Amino acid sequence: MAQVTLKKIVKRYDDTEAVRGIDLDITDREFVVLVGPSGCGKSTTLRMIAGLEDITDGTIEIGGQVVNDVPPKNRDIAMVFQNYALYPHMTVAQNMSFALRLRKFPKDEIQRRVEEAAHILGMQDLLDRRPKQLSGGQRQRWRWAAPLCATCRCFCSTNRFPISTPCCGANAHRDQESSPAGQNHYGLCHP
Amino acid sequence: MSTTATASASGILKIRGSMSKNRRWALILSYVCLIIFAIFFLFPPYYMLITSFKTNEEISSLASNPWVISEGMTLFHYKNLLTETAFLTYFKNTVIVTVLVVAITMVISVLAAYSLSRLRFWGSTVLATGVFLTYLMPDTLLFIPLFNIVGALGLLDTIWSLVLVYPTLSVPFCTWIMIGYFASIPKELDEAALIDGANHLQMLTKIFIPVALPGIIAAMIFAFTVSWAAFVYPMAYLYSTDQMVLTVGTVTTLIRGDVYHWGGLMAGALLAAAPPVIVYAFLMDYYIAGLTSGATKG
Repeated sequence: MAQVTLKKIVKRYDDTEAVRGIDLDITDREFVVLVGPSGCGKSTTLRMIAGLEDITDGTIEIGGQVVNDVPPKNRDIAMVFQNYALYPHMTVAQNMSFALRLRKFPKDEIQRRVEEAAHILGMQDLLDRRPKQLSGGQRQRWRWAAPLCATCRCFCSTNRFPISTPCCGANAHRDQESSPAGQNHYGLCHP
Repeated sequence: MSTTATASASGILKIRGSMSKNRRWALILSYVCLIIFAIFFLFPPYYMLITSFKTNEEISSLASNPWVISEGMTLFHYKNLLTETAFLTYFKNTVIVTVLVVAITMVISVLAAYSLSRLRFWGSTVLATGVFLTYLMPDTLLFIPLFNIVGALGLLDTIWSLVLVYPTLSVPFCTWIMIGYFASIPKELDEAALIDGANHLQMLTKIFIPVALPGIIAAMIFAFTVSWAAFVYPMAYLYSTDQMVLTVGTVTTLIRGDVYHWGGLMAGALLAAAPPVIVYAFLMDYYIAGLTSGATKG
């Protein structure tokens, strides 16, 4: 259902070619990690999949549909940013449920998903806190929680995986095994 | 401001041992400077306060000490101001004008700042600079051409002339403040909101406005002050008592020819200055609080 296919993806900024003809097939539920030196185009590729960057040439398909001109919100993608990008004025629970609230999910459904994601990441006690009141590691885990409770077809991260926290790594892994049907995982590791 | 002061005060008590001599001297010196400044800036309000409670005889007597009330306090000036003059009408007009001006200013400048800082369109940077340049035109220069416009619209001698004209002073500056604040919001927040499914209006109302609240409040304080304290425009455009605002109203009523009713003037000035002081005191903490900290890693 959420097969992602990149065909000859090119990204050019004026004279600089940031991404040169990438072909990539990611099957449903496959876990892919892009590794490379700084500035080699890892983030740009993920940002193009998410729709945050226009594509100079080539096509991107998600679930068999060409999404070159589909705006990010209609691509059903969740993304974890290198710099967390948490909404500073919202609590953990509000941050996690922002996408669901915008999509007008019923209140009890939102509540259920937030609690489930918080349970998976071991963050039940932190739901009422704001970004300022969390440690660096907690913030990192938290940004992973939002995609977990959303209904995404694929999941991009330009951040390191939170495996630095052993229990959390295990939990995240378990979640990947039991993730809802059709969730794809891509990652981007910084060496 | 008060929390900072208490924190430093308790810091002084704890400095022995842990804090170096150098730092202690810096603290003492800064307190001395602050106290001198406080005395300097609190002097005019003190003088207003004390004069407004004096009897007319004491104010005009050259022999009495001007810093203290020596011949008994009186509320005569306040009573006179509230019952014998149209002070309450001026007050009401000022409140109407200020509320409308602040509302109009905030709507225009928040929308303008959002589009100028985030929707990169052709000429947006030039336009942003242009907006600020219009603010540099002084109102003492503008009131003459604006007089023609206000007159042509048939708004002379009504408070609506001020509602129309004040935003020309407040909008450019507020837009400029807001552009700075919006520009300081990390781009990742937009992108996260975009992926979460927000459109531009939702991004503005649910992310930008709450995150930039200190900036919005700073802009509101500015618009409020412009509208509350303006003198040149109402002086030029308002003539009848029922349309006047506090600044010109108080002055025209209480200075008759070359007779200055100092007690009434001071009482009027004090009452007129009270709302800004209250607004500042309430919003100061908001103004200082940095809501954006913790938004991103770097």
